[in-house]
Amino acid sequence: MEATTPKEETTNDAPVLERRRVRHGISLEIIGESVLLLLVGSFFVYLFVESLDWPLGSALMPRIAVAIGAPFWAWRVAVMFFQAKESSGQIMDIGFRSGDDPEGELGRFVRICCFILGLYFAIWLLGFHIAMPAGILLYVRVYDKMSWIGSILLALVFLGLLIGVYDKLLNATWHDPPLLQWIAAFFPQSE
Amino acid sequence: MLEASIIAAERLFSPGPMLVMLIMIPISLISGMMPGGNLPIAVIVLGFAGYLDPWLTVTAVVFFLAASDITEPVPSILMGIPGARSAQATILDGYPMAQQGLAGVALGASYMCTLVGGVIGAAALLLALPISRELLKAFSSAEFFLLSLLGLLCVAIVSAGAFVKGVLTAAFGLAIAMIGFSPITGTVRASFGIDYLWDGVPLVPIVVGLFALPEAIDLVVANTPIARERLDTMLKDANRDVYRGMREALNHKWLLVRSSLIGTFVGMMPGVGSSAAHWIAYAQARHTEKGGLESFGKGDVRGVIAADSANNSVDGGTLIPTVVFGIPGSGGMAILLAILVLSGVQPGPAMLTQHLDLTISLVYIVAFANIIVVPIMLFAAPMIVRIAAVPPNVMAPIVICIVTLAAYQASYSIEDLFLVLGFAALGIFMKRYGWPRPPILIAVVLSEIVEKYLWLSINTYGFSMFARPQFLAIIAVMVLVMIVSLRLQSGATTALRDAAGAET
Repeated sequence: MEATTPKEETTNDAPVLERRRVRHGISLEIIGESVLLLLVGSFFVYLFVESLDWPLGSALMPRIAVAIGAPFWAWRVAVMFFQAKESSGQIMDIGFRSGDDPEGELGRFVRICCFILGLYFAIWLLGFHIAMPAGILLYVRVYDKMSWIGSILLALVFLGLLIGVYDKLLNATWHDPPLLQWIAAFFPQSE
Repeated sequence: MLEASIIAAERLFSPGPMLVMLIMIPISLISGMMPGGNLPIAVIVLGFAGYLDPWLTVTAVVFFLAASDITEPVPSILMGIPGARSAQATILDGYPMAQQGLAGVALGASYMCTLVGGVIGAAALLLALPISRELLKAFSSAEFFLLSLLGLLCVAIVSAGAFVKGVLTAAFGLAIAMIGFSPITGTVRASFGIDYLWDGVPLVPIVVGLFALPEAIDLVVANTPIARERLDTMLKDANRDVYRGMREALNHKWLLVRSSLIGTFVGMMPGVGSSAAHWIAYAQARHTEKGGLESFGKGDVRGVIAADSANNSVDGGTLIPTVVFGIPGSGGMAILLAILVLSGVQPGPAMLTQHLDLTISLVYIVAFANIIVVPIMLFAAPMIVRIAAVPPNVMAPIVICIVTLAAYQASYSIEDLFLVLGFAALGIFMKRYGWPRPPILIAVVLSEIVEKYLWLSINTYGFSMFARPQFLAIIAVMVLVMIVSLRLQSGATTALRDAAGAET
């Protein structure tokens, strides 16, 4: 077997990259699933402790849920840390798909997550009627490279949906965006 | 039952439900083309539940779930991309057929499978009703508590082929459902001191966050590009020899019927559902059809027939445990159950007594949906196919905005959007690390029913309920169902591996 020199470890050789990814992947796997297990475990503990102050009728079902979940939680923690292989059939709920461009996946993941966070922040700050059409326009213009006309048209169609269906048909009640309130506060209407 | 059938037909074929079904036709056809598109659209319909008559909402959801199956195989056949989990097996033979210029034949066979499979599934549901009625007469609150709890655990155990994660997720879902007012004593539970959570965690934000947003993210992350120049070729092929494909399916009628029956049976198993039905039917066809082991996976129309028949008959099967026992076998059925509960219709004995007409109408809707969409697809396929070619960077922001609106309109509360973000983060982690998400949804939907039956049973029978013969019989049957379900899941996984091995 040929010795692996340090130089090979820094090349773009596919097997080397794969080994490096696997090493990082394993630790990322544990970290990521630990976060999930921590969340679930914390909630079980919180629910159980809180249930001690509730009457029996209210406390019974939560304690059943914790009683069912706790042993499996402990089992999962043990399995994860001993890195035993578990079947991953995933018939009912498939994981993220791999496309034709796996190298760009992380970038696209970060991009779409930032879009969602930014969109929700903009909805809170500016309201649905501004945030959603603007968000769609910006995203398709920048990432799909759609023409300005196409992007604006798409945004206007969505605005039409908001006004036509939600405002006129459903008489939706919208929240008061704080930015518009602040602007109104700076420019009070004269009596 | 005859009287209920007539009332169901009169109510269903009246202007309101017919208009709803007409509106759902294009929505169903489009959503079937979108990866993960089934559940987000169902969530949007759920968001309108408060505005519509319960009858109309149920009609919309059931029609949508039944009709969307017809377009799911289209991207699988034309582009080799599964439109949904339940169209994965179709790729194995459908896509090679398309590469050989036989896309129209594959699509035609698929359409015929929709028609026949869907009708067989509906017939199975109808036949199950009188049998279930007699069975339910022997059940009391103790048995319904057990059925609901075991149904939830059954879904968890067989889902994702990961036993521990499945049960853990189901328990976590039950725990989440405990937040808010107790239905028994009115005590506020586990609200973290937040007034907004006093009414519990609302369902629509959970579904949007857990399912819709991660699927939209998946759409962008996978970013499978579709070459525009292929689109014209695909459209031409899609229309050619469709009728020949339909005749091919009828030439293999026994395979068609057999696969449909497999789909219906698998659909009745909680948690197994459409994701596994098409694999199991495909595997049995591959091993039983003449020359199947050599020709399947290389463009054999019988592979398409087996997979798609099961895919369409499974809807009737999944409705049986959902409606009769209140055990939803999939995310879509959980949403239907949620709509029934929100509309004041309790799944279980009431569905076969005072709401028998509603239950029979579900049979009609499933059959009607599968019959009506076939001729529509024959003409509309070229238009529908273009939807699959919409770039992910256009589709995703639109889907995200629409489901966000659905989450907001459920209660017009901006706090719901924060909840969506929280569950979206949870959904991403769960999807990434292979934790099944449907058990959470099913647990949240079932929790109130389970808790009420539990308390009723304890007050009525005390702990002697555990010794009731019906109680023990259900435990025995559920253990059997779990074993069968696990074996079916295992069979589906083996079929998946076999097919993958045959390709390489």
